Amino acid sequence: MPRSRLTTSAVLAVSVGLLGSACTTSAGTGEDDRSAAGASTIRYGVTSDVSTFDPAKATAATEYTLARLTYGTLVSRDNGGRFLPQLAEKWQATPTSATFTLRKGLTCSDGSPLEAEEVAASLRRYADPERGSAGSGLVFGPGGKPEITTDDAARTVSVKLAKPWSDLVSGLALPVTGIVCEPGLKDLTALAKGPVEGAASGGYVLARAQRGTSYTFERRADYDSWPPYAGQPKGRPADTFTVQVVGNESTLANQLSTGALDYAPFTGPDAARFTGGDRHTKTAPILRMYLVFNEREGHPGADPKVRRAVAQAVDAAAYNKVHGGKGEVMRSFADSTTPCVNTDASLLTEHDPAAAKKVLAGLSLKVAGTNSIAGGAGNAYVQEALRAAGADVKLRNVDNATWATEVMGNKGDWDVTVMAHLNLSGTLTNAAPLLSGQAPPQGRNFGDVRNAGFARAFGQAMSTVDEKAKCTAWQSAQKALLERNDVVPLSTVPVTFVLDKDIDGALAMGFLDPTTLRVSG
Amino acid sequence: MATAQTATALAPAPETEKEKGAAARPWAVFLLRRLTGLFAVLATLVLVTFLLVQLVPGDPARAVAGTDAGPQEIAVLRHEMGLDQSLPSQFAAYLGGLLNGDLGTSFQTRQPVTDVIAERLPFTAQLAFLSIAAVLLLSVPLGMAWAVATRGGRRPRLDGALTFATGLVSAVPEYVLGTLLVLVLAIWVPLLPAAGAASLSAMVLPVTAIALPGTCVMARVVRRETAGVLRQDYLRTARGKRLPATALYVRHALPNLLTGTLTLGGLSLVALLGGTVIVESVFAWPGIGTRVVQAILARDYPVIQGIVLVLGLLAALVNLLVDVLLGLLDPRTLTARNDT
Repeated sequence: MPRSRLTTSAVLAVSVGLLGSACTTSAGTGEDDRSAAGASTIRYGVTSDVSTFDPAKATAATEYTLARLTYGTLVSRDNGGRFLPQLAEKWQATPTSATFTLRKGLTCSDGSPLEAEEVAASLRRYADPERGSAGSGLVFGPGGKPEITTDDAARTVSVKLAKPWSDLVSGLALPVTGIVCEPGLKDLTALAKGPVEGAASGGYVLARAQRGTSYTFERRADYDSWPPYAGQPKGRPADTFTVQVVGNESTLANQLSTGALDYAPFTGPDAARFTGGDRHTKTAPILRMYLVFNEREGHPGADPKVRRAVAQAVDAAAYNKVHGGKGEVMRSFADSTTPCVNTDASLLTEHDPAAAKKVLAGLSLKVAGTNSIAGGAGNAYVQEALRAAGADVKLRNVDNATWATEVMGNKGDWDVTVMAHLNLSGTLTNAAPLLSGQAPPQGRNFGDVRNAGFARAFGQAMSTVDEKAKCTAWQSAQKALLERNDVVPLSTVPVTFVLDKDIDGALAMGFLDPTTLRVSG
Repeated sequence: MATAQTATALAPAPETEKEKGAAARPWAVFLLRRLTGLFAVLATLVLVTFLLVQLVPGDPARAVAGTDAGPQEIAVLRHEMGLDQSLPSQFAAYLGGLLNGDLGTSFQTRQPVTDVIAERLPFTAQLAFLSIAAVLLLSVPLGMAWAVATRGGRRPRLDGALTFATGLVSAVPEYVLGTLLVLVLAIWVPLLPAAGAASLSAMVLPVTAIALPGTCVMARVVRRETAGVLRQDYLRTARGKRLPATALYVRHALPNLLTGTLTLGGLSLVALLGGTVIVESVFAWPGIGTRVVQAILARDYPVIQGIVLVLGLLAALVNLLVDVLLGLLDPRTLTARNDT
């Protein structure tokens, strides 16, 4: 059977060849790679891939992190809300305008001068409603497209709003407003996909991108606009910053254990593998969890007594334990790192299951939540707490996209939702449009909350740049919401950053800012 | 009368000219049939994947826009994605693109879907082909040696031990095996990378995690096939002639037991190309399986449709290749397939 022999031999030869190629590889472990990488390289691991490198389109934590590395913002914010200079050395603000004076000698990553007009062009593009930029309403407020003007001689950029929005300066500290230099603005498609020469205005440039696998950023030697954070550790910024995409946190922990990574964020139990030893950790809130009701007519949440009973049935401390007990039990719809957040526990409805039973017994409630956080364990706790209070509870535990469509787009049938709020801006304002204004499809007030006291106080907070007056207004706004139980605060789900002993960074607005990372030793 | 009818029914029908022609050109008939089938599979895939993604709940524009997006931002995205068009218009645009070799653009990353597949498929293909090669290289000699050593009820303890061991290993889920391999060979004894695709050595653990259970399953198949072949008269005759073992087993037994092995190997390869999602996740292997899961979660319709279409095409092509190989090994299978 010569033909059969030939075929068999061919199959075997191909198999031997393929196996041989696998067996003749170098046994490079993480340790080898670590020493090869050198002390001035930081290797970061993430579990979610980057959808876009365009800062204006960043919607996820990883995209925020990488936008922060590559694109400078006019200002930065430290923990506690203090503003810091970055591309702008000084600024002045009113409730309807702000003028920023740029630092001298700013350059883009191709060495060309970064002038005021280029900064304005980047901001105009971000503010353009036709461009679909992420969260531009949070930066410029409800007044529509702002008027952005420049004075190149004075190095100033001025932003004028049609309606008061005192969070303008705060908004311009967000990575989504990162300044994109002209080469990037000329080719937005390429900007979204990967490296564009000369597009960066921040401390690093994206040098290589292997989608879904790894990204390499290189430090710009001529960049010195690092914001002076209070917690800035000593050391030098890494020359190279690499990002490895790893599918899940257990694998991420394995990579850290074997020295293949230098730091990584964890929201699950794998962070506990790094207590003590050669690593240290920093914890920050990543998700703010709270209950929101569907207050439309015909839904149980329209009745203040039901909202109060739900608040009495659910125990925020117990909810926190469901997620490992490492989070913070919240006293508002934001955590304690947020400027002007409520700290008065007396404004919250006390946990009282017996009182809850009197209202909830026999009531039918549809609870909706995303299963992307610990498989929806927190949602199941809420369901059980309400069931224990006598309610007939149906839980819809679905993925993020379905939850967002059914609840935030109000396309589904729901009564109560466990809101998982990312709040990447770390402000109270971030949540306000979700709890006031028009309901979908015209607005974002997905529960159709009609709280005149909140809306009025929120408006007052946005009409003053005086921090004290602003906080007073915010306190009134939160009180109005909490008294009516329009929201029921639960707890934060924290992210724990595990870092190599030679690397440290500062938490800014509750988040580990990658531009603060320094290598010592 | 009834007996005559039965006899007529049982008598072989006279061959028509068409059947005579088919018997004379078995390869032409085989390939024509298979290519027609391939086209039908592709047409069905295009239609079904397009309709299937529409059934998945969740708005892609809202999924991409994020929670901070306002109605206008979502509307702009929906327009960019073409989701504001009617379903027939969307299908017509998709079909038009396909005919021009364009699989569309990812909603999420704005990359052409062909680029997404070109980036990810090689990683999955490396893993799949190496794993199948390892399975075949290990399972065929193991299964044959097992059958030879235990033929005719010899060495019952060895037979029992091998049956138990292969049964046990093949029952261990890939994620458990993968995790154990990482724990032992990457963390306790740091010999190999725990994850990633940065070096060729990073392939060893994922390939082992996939190949080990597959080898055990295949070895059992080869053992059974070999045992059957060893009972055949022609092999008894060959043994009676005192042919050397190499000639006996490699030349005479091996080609006759490869039919079942190759068929199973082909099916396994198709399954592996379809996505070794769990192994890819455990080892952070940037393959196509994890990418399609990401796309489903993000409601990235073009990526889901493109990957399913390409994988369906690959599955059909691998099946075709296996049938061609089997036809080359044993032309009788070709005639049998043409008759069915």
